[in-house]
Amino acid sequence: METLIEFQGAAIGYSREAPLIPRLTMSLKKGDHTMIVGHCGVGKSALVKTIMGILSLWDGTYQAFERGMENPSEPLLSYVRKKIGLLPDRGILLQNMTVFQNIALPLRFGHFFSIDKVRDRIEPYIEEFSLEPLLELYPCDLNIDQIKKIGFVRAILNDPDLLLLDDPYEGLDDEGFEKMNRSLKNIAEKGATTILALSRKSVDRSPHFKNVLRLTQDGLTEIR
Amino acid sequence: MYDFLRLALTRKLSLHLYLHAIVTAGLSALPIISIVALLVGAGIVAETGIELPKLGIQNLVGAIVLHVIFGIVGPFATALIVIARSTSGLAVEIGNMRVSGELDTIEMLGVNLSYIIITPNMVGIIVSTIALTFYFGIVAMVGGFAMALMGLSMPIATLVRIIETNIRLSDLLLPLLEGLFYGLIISTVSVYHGLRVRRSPAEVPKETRLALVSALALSTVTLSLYLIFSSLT
Repeated sequence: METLIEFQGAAIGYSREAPLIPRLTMSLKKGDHTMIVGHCGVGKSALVKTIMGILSLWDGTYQAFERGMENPSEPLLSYVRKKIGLLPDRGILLQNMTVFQNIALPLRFGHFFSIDKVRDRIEPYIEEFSLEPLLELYPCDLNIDQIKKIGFVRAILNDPDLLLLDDPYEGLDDEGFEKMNRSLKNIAEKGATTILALSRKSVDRSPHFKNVLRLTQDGLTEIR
Repeated sequence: MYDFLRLALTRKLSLHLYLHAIVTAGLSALPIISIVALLVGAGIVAETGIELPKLGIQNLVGAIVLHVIFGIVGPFATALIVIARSTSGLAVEIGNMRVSGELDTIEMLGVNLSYIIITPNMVGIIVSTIALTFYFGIVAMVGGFAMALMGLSMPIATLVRIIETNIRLSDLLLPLLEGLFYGLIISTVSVYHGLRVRRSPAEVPKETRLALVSALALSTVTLSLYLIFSSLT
């Protein structure tokens, strides 16, 4: 089975002298939907940024889609980033773009789809996620539920190989939580996309995660 | 510029981003540029039209008015206005995007920052500065003619004739070149200082101040170098 992400003895963090995760060993295979739980400040967002190539490793090795990522070239980074659908911590939409432009951003300026092709791609998701009333609004007009929903649609729009979710449940109310879980369950059942979610709290009501791991300074330990 | 040319040649350019940048940096500056240019042009024509004939060198009025407006004051005054409006705005915008995580998010979504932030804004400022420099010159001349019409300078017919006989191609090329240089300075400095912001919101005003001061200083040095070299040739 294809290995999507692999870390071997990786030191991850913002400085060499004090890495947040001194030694991470982890292998994520296709279909192994995984949740990583860790307290605030343990390095979940640093791990996300390392996976996406924003932060470099201080030690060890990292492979994404069976390609070495120690000193990735621009074309390799672009290739990896296009295979991963990312929902960042707090959603993070661009404030000077409308909801539609935010959703279309990776397709328009990453894959360079024409505007018509982008509209065709987004159409089914507008209906499924009831986005029609929001399309012309700006992020400052939205609540956290809506921001996360739009960030999620942006992440899954191009049927990524890996769906990477940084704190997907944080800030959601019960209804938002259930909607997120339903969407993740649908994605897990389709089988084309592997889900890797990082969360501050262990979430018992998410049965579609095959593995639940706890992230500490010592690395990953299995909870389920 | 490499990214702009690459996108243009592969027809991946999103024109609306560039047009938006030009409108923000250029079109919305028209009112202030118009007022300043009218007043500057009126002042220059009034002074030269009255003082130079007293010295018996009224035949130099045209050359001096054109050179001062299109070659020195026009481009520099335009640059100062663009610096005041665009440098702080762009440095703050990029700095805030860094602090809020938007820049990292853009990169993590597989989008090149140069395509949607850096190149459109730089091209927008450069194109706007060049266009506004020309606009400044034209409006300044209108201000000058208005002074002549009101009898506060030499007679307008004389002024028009003198300018007609003295206008040269360099009077049109100079604003283009100077606008290009000033535009490059302003856009580069703004983007550079915006990107220097790291994680703290407190860095945004600090880098914005540095951007303003750097743009002013570099533009003044450019003007000085131009004046020195043009006087030597």
